[in-house]
Amino acid sequence: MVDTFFTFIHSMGFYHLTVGNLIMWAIAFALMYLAITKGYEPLLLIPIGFGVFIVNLPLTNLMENHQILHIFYHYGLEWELIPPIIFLGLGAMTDFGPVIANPKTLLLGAAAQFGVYIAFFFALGLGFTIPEACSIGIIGGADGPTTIFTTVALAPHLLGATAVAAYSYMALVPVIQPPIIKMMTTKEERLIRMKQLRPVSKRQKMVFPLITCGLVCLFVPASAALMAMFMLGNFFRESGVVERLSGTAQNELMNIVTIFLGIAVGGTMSADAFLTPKALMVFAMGLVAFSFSTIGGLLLAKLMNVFSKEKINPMIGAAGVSAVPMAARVVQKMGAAEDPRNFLLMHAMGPNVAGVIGTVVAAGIFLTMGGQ
Amino acid sequence: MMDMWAEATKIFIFGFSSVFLILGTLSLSVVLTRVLFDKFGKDPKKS
Repeated sequence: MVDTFFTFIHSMGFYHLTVGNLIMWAIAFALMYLAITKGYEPLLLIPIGFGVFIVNLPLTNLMENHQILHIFYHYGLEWELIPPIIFLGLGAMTDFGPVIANPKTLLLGAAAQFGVYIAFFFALGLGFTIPEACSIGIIGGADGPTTIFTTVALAPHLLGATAVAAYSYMALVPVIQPPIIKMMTTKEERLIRMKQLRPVSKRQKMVFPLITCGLVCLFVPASAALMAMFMLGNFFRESGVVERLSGTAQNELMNIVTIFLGIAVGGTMSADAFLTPKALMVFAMGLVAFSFSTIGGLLLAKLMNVFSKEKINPMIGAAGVSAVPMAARVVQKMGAAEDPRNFLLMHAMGPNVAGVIGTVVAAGIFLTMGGQ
Repeated sequence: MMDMWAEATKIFIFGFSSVFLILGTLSLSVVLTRVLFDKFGKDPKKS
């Protein structure tokens, strides 16, 4: 009788709870708390947080072979299926009008990849391998699906840390960016008003995804899965004849894969895998990456003003970190705080969506050169 | 160790310059497309 009692007790998860599990629960609840009360990336942080919680319930073995979280992880992430599908939806949601109207903002999206490479070097300096450093650096692109896509290919053991760092910092853009922007710009620069964007023809919007897809995939074939789906989604939108497909890509399909993505990422965050010095360093490097990406965009915008007659408000360079549309909103808010009649949102959307393209290119190059 | 830093430097140089090259080319393509459309076609649907 006593033996049976002890066997029964041993079969319970309670008996096998570790301090690590409890810490991970705390992290899970913190993520869910931030999502619910602060509205920080709730669509991702709720399923990620819940995934973290359930994968740290002892004896449930949800990430073991053929268990539910492992199935999501294996077919969704290891097969590199979910990030491109998310990109399909993002493409269908994205209006490239501001980029087409002011194409030099594409360069701001490129400059904002600066932090990617700074964090890459920092990570190497801290003892990470090149594939790991690539996965950490790409956090600076402020693009969750690209970070996941790159990490799964190069350093899958860091997936939980890089994905949560990327989404957490994306959510914290309104906190991270303003002090950097203020530090890097003068009041006069922040007051610069920009001319209204020229109208863009429907035909130009329709051709843009085709040109972008062709160019980027020819230059960096490793980025084709993300870029092709991104531009296909945008082509659905701009063609104007497949509203059902466009709607499905940006709503139902996007919502479904977001659930699988979140829970699969959360599932990688077991206490054993996550509570390591490396994971903490990934978080620190993520902040470095974000900050330097913001600085990179700002610096190029200031440099452009030196050579250009028509001045741009350098704050829009900060929106070159992807984090669409959060980073552009931050710029709009800061601009309006200086001058309530200064409308920068659409100007900032140019570098903002260009940043997505830039991050995919940077990821493709990492995948090509950093995978040894 | 030196190999790793040499490799990393290569990734940085090729990587960062490629990002600029590709987005710069894309930028020029957008301008070119605009010029071509303005020159050769009427597009009544302005958005």
